[in-house]
Amino acid sequence: MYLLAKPSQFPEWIATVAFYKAVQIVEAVFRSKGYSNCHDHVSRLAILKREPFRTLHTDYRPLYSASLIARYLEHKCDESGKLEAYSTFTDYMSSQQVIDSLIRKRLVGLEGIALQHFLDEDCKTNLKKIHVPDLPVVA
Amino acid sequence: MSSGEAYDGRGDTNYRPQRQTRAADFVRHWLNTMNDTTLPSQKTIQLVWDDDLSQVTVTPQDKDRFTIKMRTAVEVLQQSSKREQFESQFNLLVATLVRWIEENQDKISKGYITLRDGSFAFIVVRSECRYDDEFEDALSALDQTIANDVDLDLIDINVMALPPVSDDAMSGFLDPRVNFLVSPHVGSKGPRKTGKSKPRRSNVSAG
Repeated sequence: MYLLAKPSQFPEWIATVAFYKAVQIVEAVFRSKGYSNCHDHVSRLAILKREPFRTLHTDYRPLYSASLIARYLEHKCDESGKLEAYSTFTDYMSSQQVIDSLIRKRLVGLEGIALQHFLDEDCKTNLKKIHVPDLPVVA
Repeated sequence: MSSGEAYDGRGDTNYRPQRQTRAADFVRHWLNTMNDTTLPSQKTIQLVWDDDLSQVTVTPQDKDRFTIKMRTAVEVLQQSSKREQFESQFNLLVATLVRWIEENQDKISKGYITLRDGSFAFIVVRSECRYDDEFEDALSALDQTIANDVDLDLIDINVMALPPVSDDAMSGFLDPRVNFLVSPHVGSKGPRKTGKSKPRRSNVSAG
């Protein structure tokens, strides 16, 4: 919530936190279906790509990908010193796109699919508690 | 070469030899060259899918490096006991990725196969910098298709798209031990670039 108050100031962090929220939701879904928790990204992705979780994967993977770019893609000039197309994370994804594509579409979409997977009412209630209802509009 | 030329700069078009070149100049030039050159251990092998041969091909000079990198992949991914089957599946994987690249070629600059976190990774470098929701959906669909393909059951691969970046920035996402640049067909069935003759390839059967 703190980061969302200033979306244009910390888009990389919003992307990263959105992904890790998705991780927690996916892990809760796994538990509710009797799966063990995953301790690394590769094993989690391997489960998500297969039924009955493929629809979760469609929203989860872009969140993972964007968080990797936000954290690890460094801008470097090429040998001629010419600037590349990517210089900062906002060249890739504007603050508004972080809100619209990553959170409103992917994360909220993933929350909706997770709700369908949960059989336990407590899980559904807890997920609704952490849902962010009012997303900001970037000025 | 005259006796005054200590170094003829062979193979280096930027180097202009001068008479009485001092040893220090040579060393400085050599060090600069080393800094600018990709180390052999980081060399990316270009894989081309050949429709006519139904197999992956590489240029003759890359044949040995390809074999070494494949062996490394087999070891890292712990597939030594099913090596032949694994290499056949790798062949099929490259064919699948090449077809996907061709279907999306207007949005793609390059595609690499490398290792990441103990599995293969298919890293697509986009031609545009901006995030594209539709492209990400297409990439997720590819990922799911490969994961659910019974003929690729030994292949564990994750996919991701990067915006266009320099090779230097790209290197952070590529494992120096195993990285292949995947290129479209040279065979008759697939589209081929016009105005260029078919390159001479060494047939390296992955199967």
